Order: sequence, then C-alpha cells, then structure tokens
Amino acid sequence: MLLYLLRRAVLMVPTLFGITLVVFVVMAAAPGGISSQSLVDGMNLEPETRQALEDYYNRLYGLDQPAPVQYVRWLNNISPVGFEREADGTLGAFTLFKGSDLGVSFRYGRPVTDLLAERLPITLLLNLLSIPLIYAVAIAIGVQAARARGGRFDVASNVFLLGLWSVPTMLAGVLFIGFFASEQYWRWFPTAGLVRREAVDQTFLPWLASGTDLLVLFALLGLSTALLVWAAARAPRRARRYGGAALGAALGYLMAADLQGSTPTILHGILGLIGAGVTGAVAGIPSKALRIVLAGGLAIGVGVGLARVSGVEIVHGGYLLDRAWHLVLPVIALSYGGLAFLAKLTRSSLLENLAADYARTARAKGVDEETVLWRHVFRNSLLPLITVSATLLPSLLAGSVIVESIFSIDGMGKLAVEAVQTRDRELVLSVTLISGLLTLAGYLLADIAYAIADPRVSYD
Amino acid sequence: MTEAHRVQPSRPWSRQVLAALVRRTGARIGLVWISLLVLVATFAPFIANTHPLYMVVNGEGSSPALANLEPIDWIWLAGFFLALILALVPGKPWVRVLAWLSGVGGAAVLAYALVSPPILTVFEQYREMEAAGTIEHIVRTPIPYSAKDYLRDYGDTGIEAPLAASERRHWLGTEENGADVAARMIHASRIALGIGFIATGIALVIGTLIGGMMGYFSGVVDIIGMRLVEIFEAIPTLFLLLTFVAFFGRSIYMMMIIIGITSWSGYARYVRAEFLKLREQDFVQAAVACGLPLPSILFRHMLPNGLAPLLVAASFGVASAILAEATLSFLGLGLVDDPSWGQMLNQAVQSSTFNWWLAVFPGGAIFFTVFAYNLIGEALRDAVDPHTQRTAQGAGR
Amino acid sequence: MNTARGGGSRWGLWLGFGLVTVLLVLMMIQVDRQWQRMAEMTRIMQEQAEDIRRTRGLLRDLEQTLRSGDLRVADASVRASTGVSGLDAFERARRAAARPDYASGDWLMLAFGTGLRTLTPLVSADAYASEVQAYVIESLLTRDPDTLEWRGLVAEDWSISEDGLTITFRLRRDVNFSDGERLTARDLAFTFEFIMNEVIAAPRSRAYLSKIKSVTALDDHTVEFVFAEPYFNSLQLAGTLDILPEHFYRRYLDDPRAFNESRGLLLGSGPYRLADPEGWTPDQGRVELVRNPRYWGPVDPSFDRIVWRVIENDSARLTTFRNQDIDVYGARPREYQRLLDDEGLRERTLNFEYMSPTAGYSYIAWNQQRGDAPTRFADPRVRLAMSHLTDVQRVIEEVLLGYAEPAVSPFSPRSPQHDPSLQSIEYDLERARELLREAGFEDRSGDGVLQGPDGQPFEFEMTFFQDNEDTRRMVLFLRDLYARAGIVMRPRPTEWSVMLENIQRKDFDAITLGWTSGIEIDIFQMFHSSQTLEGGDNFIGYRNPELDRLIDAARAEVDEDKRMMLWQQAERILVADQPYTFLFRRNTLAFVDERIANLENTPLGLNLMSVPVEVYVPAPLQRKR
Repeated sequence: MLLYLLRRAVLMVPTLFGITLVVFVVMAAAPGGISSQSLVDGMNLEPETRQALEDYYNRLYGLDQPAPVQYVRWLNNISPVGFEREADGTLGAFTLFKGSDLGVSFRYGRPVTDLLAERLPITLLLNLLSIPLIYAVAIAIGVQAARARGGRFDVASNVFLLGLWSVPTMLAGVLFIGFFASEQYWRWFPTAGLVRREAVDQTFLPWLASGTDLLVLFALLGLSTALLVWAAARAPRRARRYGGAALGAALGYLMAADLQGSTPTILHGILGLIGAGVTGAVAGIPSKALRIVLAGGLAIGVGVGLARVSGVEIVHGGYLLDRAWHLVLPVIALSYGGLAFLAKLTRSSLLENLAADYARTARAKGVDEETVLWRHVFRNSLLPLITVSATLLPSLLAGSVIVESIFSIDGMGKLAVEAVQTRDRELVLSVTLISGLLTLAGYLLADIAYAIADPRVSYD
Repeated sequence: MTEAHRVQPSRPWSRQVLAALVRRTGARIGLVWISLLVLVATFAPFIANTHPLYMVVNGEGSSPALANLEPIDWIWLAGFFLALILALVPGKPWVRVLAWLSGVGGAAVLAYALVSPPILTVFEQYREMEAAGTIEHIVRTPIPYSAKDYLRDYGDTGIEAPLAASERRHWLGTEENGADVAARMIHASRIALGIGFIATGIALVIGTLIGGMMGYFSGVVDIIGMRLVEIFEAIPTLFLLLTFVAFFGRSIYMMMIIIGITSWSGYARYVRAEFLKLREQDFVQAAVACGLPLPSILFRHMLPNGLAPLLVAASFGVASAILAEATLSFLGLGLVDDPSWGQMLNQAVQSSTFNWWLAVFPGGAIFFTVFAYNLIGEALRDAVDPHTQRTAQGAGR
Repeated sequence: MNTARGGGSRWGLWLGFGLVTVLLVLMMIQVDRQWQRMAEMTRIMQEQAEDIRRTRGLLRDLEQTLRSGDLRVADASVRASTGVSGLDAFERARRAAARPDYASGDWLMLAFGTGLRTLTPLVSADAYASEVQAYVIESLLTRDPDTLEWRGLVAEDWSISEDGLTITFRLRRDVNFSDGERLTARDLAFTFEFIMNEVIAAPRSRAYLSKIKSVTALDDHTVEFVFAEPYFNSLQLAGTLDILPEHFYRRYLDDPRAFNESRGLLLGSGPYRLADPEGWTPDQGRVELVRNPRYWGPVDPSFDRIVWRVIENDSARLTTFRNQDIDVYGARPREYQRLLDDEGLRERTLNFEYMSPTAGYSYIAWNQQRGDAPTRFADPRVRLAMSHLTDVQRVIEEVLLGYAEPAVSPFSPRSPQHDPSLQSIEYDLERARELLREAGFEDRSGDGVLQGPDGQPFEFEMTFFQDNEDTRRMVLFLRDLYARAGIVMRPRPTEWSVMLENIQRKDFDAITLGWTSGIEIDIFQMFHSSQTLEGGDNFIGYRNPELDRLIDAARAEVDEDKRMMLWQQAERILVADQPYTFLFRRNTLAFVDERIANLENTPLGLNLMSVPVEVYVPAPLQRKR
C-alpha cells in the first residue's frame, strides 16, 4: 500500500509539471502576453518614468527574458531542490534545502503563499459544507427512488434531478440574488461577502435582550419543531399533503404580502398556489428521513418567526448566525448540481445491486427487504459514489469560480478570475498548481477509500 | 457469443438504437426542442429582422431581407436543406455525414465568394421611410427587429420590461442597448447550436485521435498520453477556459476551438479503453494473424461498435459546451456585439437593478437546451445499454 | 426492527453527540464572556482617549489665546465663533460644528469599485488610494471649496518672491503626526529628499516635482521652496506636497525595496489614521481608518471611523447601498434615472448631480501617424469632418441621459483658461460630407462606403476599454452614426493592459479615452510635439509648431492674465485643428444616505469627502456600532 502511494505521488509530479507548462504556454503565446508594460498602468506617466518602472519590474520578475527561461526560473523557484536565487536575480549555488517559493503576485505585491493561505480556506469552507450536504441528500433521494422503482417518486425525481442538473449555476445564482437578496423582491439573504462588518465585533452566539426572551425562543422553537417533525414522521399521507399544502399556501401569501401588501391580488393567488404545490409535494415524499430533515428546517424558521412576532428582542445575531446566513445561498448554488448528479448515480448503482444475485440470495434466505437494502446492497453501491467523489472536488472548485464571483466571496475562485484578468503570472500559475494538486489528491483519496470500502481491491 | 456477433453489422444496430431512442418520452421532448431550435436558428433572418421581407417603393418591389443575408445565413440554409435531402436519400450513415460535411463546406466557400451584402446597414431607414409614406406595400418578419438593431430612431432606449413601450412591441422586453430581447435570443440560438456541435466535434476528433493512438501503440505512448489526459482533467476546465479566453481574445470561432481543446480528455479515455479491449479480442487477433493491418481492423471494428457510447458522451458534451460558452459570456469574457444567451444573463445583474426578463428568458433558453441534450443523452445511454434496455422492456411489459 | 444491541449503541451515539454539542455550546459561551469583557475594556479605553483628546484641545486653545495675547478663556463649544486664527482651512468645518444638530460619532461607510494595490503614498497610483490618503496625510495648503483660493492648512502663511522662483511657508506650531511626533519644516525637506531619491519607486511624483530645485528648512517652522525655472503652477506644486513624517519613512531609504513593495505604509498628520500604520494589506477587501486621537486641528472630525469596502460588482454595490450597508453610491446615468423613480430609495437618500472640476473630459483620439506613414486622420479636414459626424449632443442625451455637457476643448468651461467665445462642434452631416469630399473621400464604387484618394474604403477600428458599459454603448451608437455618412467603424473592445500596449506602440486607428482635469491644467504632455516619442502621451503623433510655441510660453509665464491669454490662443488652435474629437464632461451622480447631514455642492464638487471633514450624522440618526 505504502509503495503504491509512493508511486502515485511520484507520478503526480510530471502531471503537475504538465499543468503549469500548459498554462504557461497559453500565457506566453497570447497576444500581449506577460510583459512589464502591462504592469505599468496609469496613463499619465512621462516616457522616461514609464521606462524606469518597466525596467524595475523586469529586474524584479525577470520579464525581459525569453519565455522558456522564465518558465525554467519559475520551476526552479517553486521546486524545493534547486539553485539559490540571489538578490540581484542571478542564480547561486545548487542546494537541496532551499525551500519552495511561489513568488510574489504582480497585482497584490504579496507572496502568493500568503494570498493562497487566506483564500483557500474560504473556498474549502464552501466545498466542505457542500460535500456532506450533497452526499446526505443525494443518498436519501437515490435510495428512495431505487426502493420504489418505477413509482411516482422515482419518475418524478428522475425528471426533476435531470432538470436540476441542467440548470446553469450562474442562472441559479442570478435568480437567487435577484429574487431572494434584493430589495426589489425579498431581502431574506445578504447579497455579497461572507460576513457583515458589524458581526466581526459581535459575540459568537446570538444575544438576546433578556433571559425570559431566551426561554420563550427555545420554547417556541421546541414546540414548532416537535409539532412539524411529528407531523412529518407520523401523520398519514393524506393529512400531510393537505397540511403541507395549507402551510405552503400561507407562506406564499405572506411572501406576496411582503411585496404588495395584504390585499389579495393575482400575485397572492399565484404565489399561494406555488407554495401549496411545492410544500404539498414535499410533504408527500415517501422517505421519512428526508421529510423529517425538511420539516426540521422549516420548523426552525417558523419558530424564529413566531418568536419575533411574540416580541422576543434579539440584540444582535452574533457572528455564527451571520456567517451561516451568508452561506445559505452560495452553498445551495454550489451543491445542487452535484446533488442531482450523485442522486441519479446512487439510484442506478442501487438498482444494479438490488437485482444482483447476492441480493436475491439474501432475500431467498428470508432476510427482510430493509436489511437487504442497508446491510448488503447499500455498502456495495457505495463504490461508484466513492469513485465519483474524486471528480466531485474539481467540479466544485470550478463551480466556486462562478459562485464566488456572483456572490462576491473572496475565495480562490474569485482570485483565479482576477489573476487571469490582470495577467498576474505568478498567481495564475500557483492557482492552477494548487487546484491541480487538490484534484490529484482527490483522485488519490478516492482510490484509498475505494480500497478500504472494497476488500477485493488491493494496490500492492 | 454468436448472438453478440450477429448485432455487429452497423446498420441494424443504429436503426435499433434510433428506434429505442424515439420510443422514450424524454428523448422525444429533447428532440422536439432541439429541432425547434434548429428551425429557429436556420430561419432566424426570416423570423426576426428589421429588413422587410418584401416591400414596394415607387412601384418597384424588392426584398431587403434577402439582399442583406450574410454568407453565414446562406450556409445555415444550405446546411439545413442538405440535411433534409440527405435524410430522405438512402445510404450508409457515414457516407451521408461525409456528404453533408462536404456539402456545407462547399456552400461556405461559395457563400463567402459570391455573397456580399451591404457593409453598412442603417436599420432605421425602413421605419423612417414608412413614416414618410414612401413605402407602398411592406411585408415584415414576425419580429420586425434585427439582433443588432438598437432602435436609434427612437432616441433614449435601454432596458425595458416586456411590452413596456407603447409605440413598439417587444414581447420579451429590450436589453441594455435597446435591442429586442426576442430577436437577440433567436439569433443567439445559432451560437448555442454552433458552439455545441463544433466544439464537441473538435473535442471528439482530438479525443478519438489521441485515445486511438494510445490504444493502438500502447506502451510508452500510452503512458505519455495518459499523463496528458490527466493534465487536462486536473486543471478545472472552466479555469483553463478563462485563461485561454482572457489571453487570446474573444471571437466565436476561437471560443469553439478553445472549448474543443479543453474537453477532449473524456473521449480519449473512452476510445483508448475500447481499443485496448478490442486488441485482446479473439477475432482481432485472428485477423492480425491473417495479415490484415491492425489500424484498419481497429478503426473498422472499433468505430461502429463504439460509436453509440461515444455519441452518448458527445450528447452530454454538447450540453456542457453550451454551458461553457454561457459561463464565459456571463463572466464578461464573451462576445461583444453579437447576441449570446449568457451575455444577456450577465446583463440581468450587471445593470444594478434586477431585470427579471433578462434572467428568465435567456436563462430559460439555456436551461431548456441543456436539459434537452441531457434528456437525449440519457435516453441514448439507456438505448445503447443492453442491460437497461432489457430491464426497461421488461418493466414496459 | 433493531436488535437490542443495536438500540444500545444507537442511544450511546446520541448521548455522545448530545454531550459534544453541549460542550461546544458551553465553550462558545465562555469565549463570548471573554469577548464581552474585552469589548467593555475597549470601550473604557476609548472613553479615556476621548477625555485626553478633549484636554488636549483645551490646552491648545489656551496656548493659542495666550499667544495672541487675548486672555479670554476659550470654551470648546464656542470655539467656532472665536475664530482665533482668522480665515484658515477649518472655517467651513467650524461652521458645521456649530450647527445645532451637530454630533460626532457613527461610521462613514464607502465602497470602492476595484481592489486597491497599495495605500503607501508615492507608490500608489490610483484615485482610490489618494482618496484614502487625503484623510491621513496633510499638505501645506488646501483650496477653499467656496472661493477656490488657497488656504493654509499646515502652513500659517506664505510669501512668493518677486521672480516667482522662491516660495517661503511659515508652518503652524501645533501640528503633530498621529503617533504624537511634532511636524516640523524638516519633515518637508525630508519629503522632498525622499521623493527625489532614485531608489524610491516614485517616478511619477519625481517627474512632477522636477521643477523644484530645493526645499530647505530655514528653522523648525519655516520652509523655503526654490524653483529651477518659472512655472505657472508652482504654488500648487509646493502647497499640495503630501507631508511625510521623517521619523517613520527615513528608515526606508536604507531598505527601499521594502518601501517600494509595501502595501500599507501610511502615516501622517491628518484627522484619521490606519489603526496599524504598517499592517494594511489589499486582500482584506476593505480599508478602515479610525479617528486620529491626537489630531492637532481646531475642529475634530465627526466620524469615529471611515470604512471602504471593495465591491467590484455594480449590482452588488447597489444592493449593499440599498441595504444601507454603505452610505454612498455613485451611479451611472441610466441607473441614476431609474433609481430616481424608486420611491423606497428616494425616501431615505439624498441625490446629487454636479459637475466636478476634476471630472475630466472624454475624447476620441485620431491616430495621425502609423509606422512612418501618416494616416487619413493626418488631414485636419478629415478630423473636422469626424467631429461634425460625432453627434455629441445625442450621445449625451441617449447614452448619458443628459448628465453631461459637451466638451469644447481640454479646458474646463469654468476655468479662465477657456475662451467663452469658442463653441463645440455641431453635428452637421452635410458639412462633414463636403469636408470629406474636399479631402478626396467619395463613394466611387456605389456600395455606400466612401473611398479615399487611394481607392481604399474608409474603414477604421475604434479601440475602447471593454469593461465600461457607457463607453461600449457610445461606440456602438457612433458606429451607427458614422454608417450614415458611409464610414465603416469597427468597435474593438480591448482589455486595459492590451490597450496600454496598443497606445504605446501607436497601434490603433482611433481610440476613445478620458483625461482627468483640474482648475488649471497643463496640456503639454498630450499635445506638445516633443511628447510624440515612444511611450509619450501625445500618442496620436500630433504636431503643430504654433501650438508648441504657445504651450511653452504659457508654462513659463508666471503672470496669470498673460498666461490665460496664451492658453486661450492654444485652445483656439486645438478647436480648429481637432487633434481629438472632444466629447463631453460627465456629471458626477451620487446617492448619499440621508443620515449624512450638511451635504452641499461647492465649486470643488460635493463636500462629502472634503477634508477637514464637514459632514456628520446627527445624534438621533446615528447607528449603534
């Protein structure tokens, strides 16, 4: 196993090398290319001063040298083993321990390592929140669809998921911001960034005006959660349907009232109907776990809303809630595509295994369907999900480019767009290197997970 | 075993797949939408155009719409009618595809050599002539605006909600420069279709070539090729696209090529695997022993066999190429004057207030097109997969 | 369904999970308790700082009154009416502080449209950085917003020698930097020495100050500027030099690289300061200035804090403004028009449209020399015809919705440099056709496109910056206008870096750009023929010996009236010759949150950002932060 890992790690080196080479060739071959002229912005410079600045940048970044030399120098800088770099730009002695240096960003003038150290965690936060969400919901939907194959839920979810998969991220992002984060419609969520300035100075937890308010809030939360979860879990299907539809209609009406006042108009009717349809359909989902989770989420909202109505004064929401509030839309926009893909995969993989001989044998032995599903079939169906997890990370990284630029989140995706647009050579190369590294590491992890999940696989 | 060999000949197999495809509702919906899109794209100048189809001035009849057709319009028309004719003529599929391609190529050469529409277009002249009463009879297109007709004669025009203007009728509103959104969407369907097909075509060709080389030579070539595939898979495609476009500028053909050369790796992987599998097959070994050259065997047998799964991948590939173009346009790296759905979607938020018609209509068009290709792709996958086909039929009964 | 063992382990799992949750919550509560305590301590410290500041102010007033021999005890609240130092830069701020609803407190929240590279003075080049620096670093003089005359800020008074070559400033005695060190004349001498030192990457400032021969500190409070040659703008040059503290910046002469690559080395004597004068970095996405507790000025600034956020997306910036998270939104014309119709927004904001004197003019530059050959735009008749075809009035109406005025020449119509008898060139299709015919451009082939004397069709590319929506709209509009005269213009949207390169290599046909402007501006670098060399700002290759002579004469003329005559003569040549087609000067359009009081339009523009700070938030409207 160790040997295998080592071999894989060594094989990663030429790939990473190739990635940077491709990107560097693109940059160097482009019209305009990377030159000191592009760094000297500002039109009002006198010719001599412009020349002086260009010379300065040339000295600093070695931009006047031919492209291959520039690339080799860059490689030397990032590789931990190589020639020392002297202050005047010449190469010194060969050493084994010089440490790698990603260089200094043209645009920000800061070491790229520092920049990445700040931006990467934000992107990773988005992705690490998305991945469990994707897996949890996708498996719940996929299992339910596979269990009642050909049923109404299966067919409906199949079309719905394919549709969801086809929605471009930017369309979702634009619609989210346009409808749910703008004053023109509903301002439920913030438009930009990950945290409000005020929240930085606030305590971590929400701060209520008094202790009794806290009690009231907890009581209302508990009540609404208990009620809704109970209804979602235990109530008969028909009752759930009607109850859900009524609740949805009420919510739709409230949304319309938010826009146009409480006198009923066509909008109230339409939104009420949409709300009733959506919650009614959700309430009718056969999967109990999915229902409970959704009901829980709704219950928290309803509880907080009731508390606000009954006069609980919240001094400030605190850092934690503020951060969570900012994360809702980006995380949804980032995860729905992967979710749709994964749910379909779960379904097909489960179907294949449910029809497999070993499942039939188990059933013939008298094992009940539930146990067959979870004990035998589910574990085997995990394998393709693990394989896919390797490709999930790169696609999420690409997705965060769009999501971050729509929601103005200062993560690595936005950094990448900025770097490319400002032709920041060091930054472009480093960002590609890091995302390539992450992707390859994802592949490797998936392989290891595969070996753990499937004892038949061995890499020795 | 013998049964498996019996379905080897390509014609019945492709017919079978086609029949299975058309049986599926999803595929039908997808095909209907795509055909609609093809129709709209082909006849765009006759659906949305400021130049009238026919007008009589001073007793003299003329058709400005025809006179102003660009070479690209003629190529679309030629391609469309050629496809119609070839669909009716019997013949081997690949012969027909080749005939179509060469026909379109010839049409392109002819069109660029012969057609020279006026370089300068003054769109408002017809409306001015109409107002002055010099036109005796006029036949307009259903949407009397071109994609680049910015309605200069109306003065201050800009973003307007659908049907907001009183003297004009814009079914889907106008965009930031005052052009009709419906007209722009109709003309943009060409970009969506073109980029989907051509970019995927390029990717298919590159992927098949590299994958074929890897599978055919194996050994060192294979190892190097796989590294290349890995490289292109490990760079997030969108990021590579951004780099390419930001550094090479923006033209529709450039974007097709760029999207093509960033998305070939999946096809290469598939073709390689198929070739490697095929090499081990008994009948190939036998054929090689008989002295038949390996390349011809591989390409003869591989292509018909592997074409359908490759088509499945390509169908999803078209969807993602369309998405890629839309994303680039959305990030502000797309085309400038030429209409594109993604660019309109970009305008929906760029103009600081949220203009729902610029988000919903072009966004909806992107969504439906991508959805249609995905539906077709999925149906195609089910159709070519004997396993699911059997079970699906079982379920059907 | 579950076995007993399974049930047990499940309960264990839930118990463990619950325990971890409870522990986490307890830990968070503990952290929050510490946080509260710290917040309280910060508050107490701030209050103490406030007390010290007040004492300082009293002491200062005492010192002033003692020195002026007047033993009246100055009360802080009536400081405004005493007016000890006569007319100085703080006059307007004093008036603001005397208003009945004046209150200090609250934050001013602003936004930048692009990220900053650096805040370090001299190294920074963009307008955003100088916006921040204006609050932190002070200069000797400042312009009075009402009269546009110079008023002493750090300088008490000044004198100019007969020949105009020497300017002597007497400094105020009570000025100190925000770290408490005194500001003396030696800091000014150092600033000049620092800028002139080749190792400092301040080529722009160095070139700008090259007219100054020396800056000498005669004593602690007197400084003398000596100019090498007579220069019309010498007082402005000396008076607006940003004063850098010697004790803070001197060490970077030994380590120039640290300075040149620094991002946030900013310390001065201004009313605000960076909390950490060395620690700012651009990737924070915001700039925060806190009130300088040691500010020397007679009037304290009102805001506790000034915060700029970087929000690059226009719509996000607007939404943030709507959500009242930023206080100012600079709108584009079309937005402005639309937002004016927005009831909700109008109710709680104030809107301003004004012509800022520093708002420059936009132009189309016609490249007159490509390679070694003159282009078709080298013929003045062609340029004039293009100007006649460019319907500036309609561009203003349709693209800028009337929020602009046509530009006649580089000189602002409100400046004495401008000759009021000159008019901008009208749209005149017939006249343009005539001019073009004279120059040999006619449609000989009958395809609607003009051909030149050489038979080439009249086609050209218009290079413009791709990310400006209004410019793009204008270029598309002009394309349709030129088409009516039979001229084919192809828009060429260009990235900024590529555009700079094109300009430098003179690789373009026509380009549309803008120059910033001022009260009195120098046109040497754009139109003097000596600037046609590679990389010069006369990138269109325009040469006119008569104009060269006038520019040289005007620049050396110290007498204002004579100089204005020369500038006006130069202007007449520019209008007749049309090296550029001068397009328009835009109004600045802004929405400001209604909390901000005492906003006023002055000849220098809106007083929102003026230093000394004149705007404030009345106490009832202040937000608790």
